Amino acid sequence: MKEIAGRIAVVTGGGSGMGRELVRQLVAEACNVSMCDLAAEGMAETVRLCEAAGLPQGLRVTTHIADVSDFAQMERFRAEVADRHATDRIHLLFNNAGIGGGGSLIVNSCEEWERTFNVCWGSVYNGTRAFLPLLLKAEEGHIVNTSSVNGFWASIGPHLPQTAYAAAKFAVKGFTEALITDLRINAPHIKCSVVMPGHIGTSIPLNTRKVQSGNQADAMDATQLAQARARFASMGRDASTMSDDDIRQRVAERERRFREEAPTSAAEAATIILNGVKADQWRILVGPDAHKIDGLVRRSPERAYDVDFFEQLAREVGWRLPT
Amino acid sequence: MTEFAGRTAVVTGGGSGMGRELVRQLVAEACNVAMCDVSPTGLAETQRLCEAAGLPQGLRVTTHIVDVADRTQVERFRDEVADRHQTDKIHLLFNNAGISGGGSMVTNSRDEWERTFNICWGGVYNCTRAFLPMLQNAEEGHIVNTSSINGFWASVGPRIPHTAYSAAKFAVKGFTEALITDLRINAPHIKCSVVMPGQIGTSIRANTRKIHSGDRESDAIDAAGLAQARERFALLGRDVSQLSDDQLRNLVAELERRFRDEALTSAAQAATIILDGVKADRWRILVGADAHKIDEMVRQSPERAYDIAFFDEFARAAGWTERLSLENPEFRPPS
Repeated sequence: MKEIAGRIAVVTGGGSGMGRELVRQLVAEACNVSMCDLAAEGMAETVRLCEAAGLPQGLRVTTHIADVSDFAQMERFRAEVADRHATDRIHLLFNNAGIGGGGSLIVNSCEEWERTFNVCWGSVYNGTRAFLPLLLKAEEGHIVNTSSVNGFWASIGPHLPQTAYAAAKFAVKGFTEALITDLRINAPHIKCSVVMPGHIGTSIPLNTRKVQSGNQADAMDATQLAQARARFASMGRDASTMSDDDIRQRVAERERRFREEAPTSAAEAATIILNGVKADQWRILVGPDAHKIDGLVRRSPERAYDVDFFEQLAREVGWRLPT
Repeated sequence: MTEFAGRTAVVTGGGSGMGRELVRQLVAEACNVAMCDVSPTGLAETQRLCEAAGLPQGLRVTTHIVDVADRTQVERFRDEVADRHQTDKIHLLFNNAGISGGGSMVTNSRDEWERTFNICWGGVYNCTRAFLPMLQNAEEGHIVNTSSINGFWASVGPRIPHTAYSAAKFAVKGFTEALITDLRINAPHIKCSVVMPGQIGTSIRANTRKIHSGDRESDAIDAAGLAQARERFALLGRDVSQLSDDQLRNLVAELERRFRDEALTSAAQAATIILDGVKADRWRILVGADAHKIDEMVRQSPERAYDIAFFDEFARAAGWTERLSLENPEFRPPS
């Protein structure tokens, strides 16, 4: 899709990170946008940023509270989009919402595991299923599903399990790649892309903490403290001697560094994604680390989970071992 | 795990195909087996084949009717295994059960799509979660998850949509690969492997038809099965409009038979490759020459993986041209 102006885009997870930057850049190109997220505050800030940059005349930017893991809420979201944009069609669907967590099948609870899986996989499946009828009605459409480097490499290092996120992100990649053929046969005016970001400067650790504890406040509550302690323990670190304030500080510092010291910013990622969509690329790697990992895993798949493979990769892409 | 004798293995989908051959070869190596399936007649036949080959003295081979997509049934299965094998541990878990179908997000029903996804992905997830405590109790364990070449290549060719199966099989691959690290940290006595078969001579096509029709035991092809067959032939460019329903039934049955009996790799050969991989502690098990070929091609040129020319090149190299010409004798890849 070469021209984005005047179209209607749906963006899930528009309240922060890559979702927010996608919304801002779409709006800057005069594309109407409907975004959803779990909490109103993040989306209000996204709208404020759009308005501060100057909204083109008559452009619609709407916000919707929806949990992407719940199909009924996604159907309501679709009905709201149709209503508020007075339309029966959309042109762009960015299934972007995601969280981490639930890394271990052994240490983490079943509920946490499934929450992560259902947000990361469910966001893409429910979003696609719910909005497909509106895409079918458009003269041209594009589905953009955010997977991850964890969609082809099921690791964030040899000391951190990542089972729920990796299972979901692999599913997103396989689903989207299979959609290429399905759409070519059954709806050739719709294209699709799978996005595989490396480490992007987003608030995903903070958002994960909020969603997994069911508490949208920035401050850490008792549940979140316990989860952070469990996470440190799962990484082989003794957290028993740390006070709650030590934990809070550690977590806040980690979240800040994750966001601010990433090799690729969320805004840069959004630009790469939109350029990929305009160029009709179905396979969009985001960031130099993503390109590097893709090359290494394709070259020696058997070694992909060896400790020395990760060390070589971390050196070459400039990743620091998680602290 | 180099030695299977005296161990206890759980095999899902033991009533046919690779599951049945895994059971037979495990039993031949004196491994106790608990198998499940949705088909009682399939399970009984597997049991009969094991007994005909001679069951080692005292070996336990048990059968259980279970839908792996249903967590409650899977938990009941675990309790039955503990009870009938008088044990709190198992050593091997083969998450093998799978069906196809639900290929299109556009033309297939949501129910059909989710049935396929919930069996192929949910089966692996539910059984891993349910049996993990029994694997943890063992001195040594191995989880063997059957993905597919569709776990890294989301296609069966440019003419057939394949979204539900591919999404599920990619999930199985990612899940298992992530388990390598999780187990290394949290349960280092348990290993895992992801199995990626190419085209294997199994009854997956007949089983798919039966499960989506809701009648798991009947071989008869009902109206829905006929409609799906007509749709599939149309996608493959074969005109079957002149065939009567009975002629179409015969054609479908013949294709299912040839898919099973004339495959590049038999189910028994696949089972041997899988068990050899487990014994050699290999986490990444490709099954069949076609699987090795497509793995190499996709890794070499991922961007081209869904181009029609890419498929035709693979089909020729892997012997799939023959397979496609079964469904459409006029089919010839452009040279």
